[in-house]
Amino acid sequence: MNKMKSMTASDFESLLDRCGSVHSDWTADEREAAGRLLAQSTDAQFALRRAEALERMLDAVPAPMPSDALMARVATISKETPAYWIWTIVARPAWRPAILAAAMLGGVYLGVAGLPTSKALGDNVFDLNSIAGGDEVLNMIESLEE
Amino acid sequence: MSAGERTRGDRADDTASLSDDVLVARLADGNKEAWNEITRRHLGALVGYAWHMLRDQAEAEDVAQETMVRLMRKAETWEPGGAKVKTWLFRVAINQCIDRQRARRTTSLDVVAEQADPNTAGATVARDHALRRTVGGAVDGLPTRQKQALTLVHYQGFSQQEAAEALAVSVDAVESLLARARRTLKTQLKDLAGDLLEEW
Repeated sequence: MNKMKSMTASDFESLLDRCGSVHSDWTADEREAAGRLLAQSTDAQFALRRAEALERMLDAVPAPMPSDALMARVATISKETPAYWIWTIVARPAWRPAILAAAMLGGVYLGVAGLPTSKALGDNVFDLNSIAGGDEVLNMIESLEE
Repeated sequence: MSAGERTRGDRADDTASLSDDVLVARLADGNKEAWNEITRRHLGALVGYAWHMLRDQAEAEDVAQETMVRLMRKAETWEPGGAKVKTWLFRVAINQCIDRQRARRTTSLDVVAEQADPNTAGATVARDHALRRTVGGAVDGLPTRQKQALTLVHYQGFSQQEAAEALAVSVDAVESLLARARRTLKTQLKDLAGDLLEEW
């Protein structure tokens, strides 16, 4: 970088906009030139105070810390952890009543309609009742071997 | 202190001194301490970034959690020396925030004001409430790219180089985004919050 010989108030304001008011975020040349300017320019001093005030105002809006619930969920993450949408449904308390209601409705439906049987599903469905016992299976195997 | 406790403590100190790349390599082997250390280093910042972008803690935590899930899945194929873990995590979080912002397109300024500090009281609470509302509203009014750059650099302490990598732009572009954001905020907050700070 070219060595900065002098800095105008406008240059300094641009530096504050680009890099903020923290001196350590400026280059050594910028710090040196800004130091000389600040020693003699009230406009530069005012610009610095205004930039510092802006940073303090931004600090007045701090983000919340991660909740204990999130910390607990993240601690249990593994390679087998399901995709996000499943997590959302399971982990969000707001979804739990809906899951409970759906489970109850499903249970009531099955109770009223009855579990599906092979007849209800059609004749082509493999019917377990057609196999009477182990002897019949053995007879079938023997006949195939013959 | 028992020998067992010393061993656990030594192991924790050892983990804390490792680079993110090494921790991710250990993570691929199922190392729980590596996972805890990565969580300690990055989870708060991810929640913070997402909260500043979305102003909703539940959504911010969803973003952070999903980002961590993706890192866990990425661990086995992670290539050391490539992208920094921190940069990769924030790219994932940035993209998730963009998707969520597109899905809703509204932000309640009341949410900003509701982040009250429990240690303040009375008139101070009212003043802080107004300040948060005003400043949060001004920040939320920034174009998305400017807000992303400001959030990464001011709130998450990213260097301009790190912010440039996370946003996939040049350092000059980050400087330009920050300069425009700060100029806008100075103008807006001069009008909106002139009586909140004597220095203004």
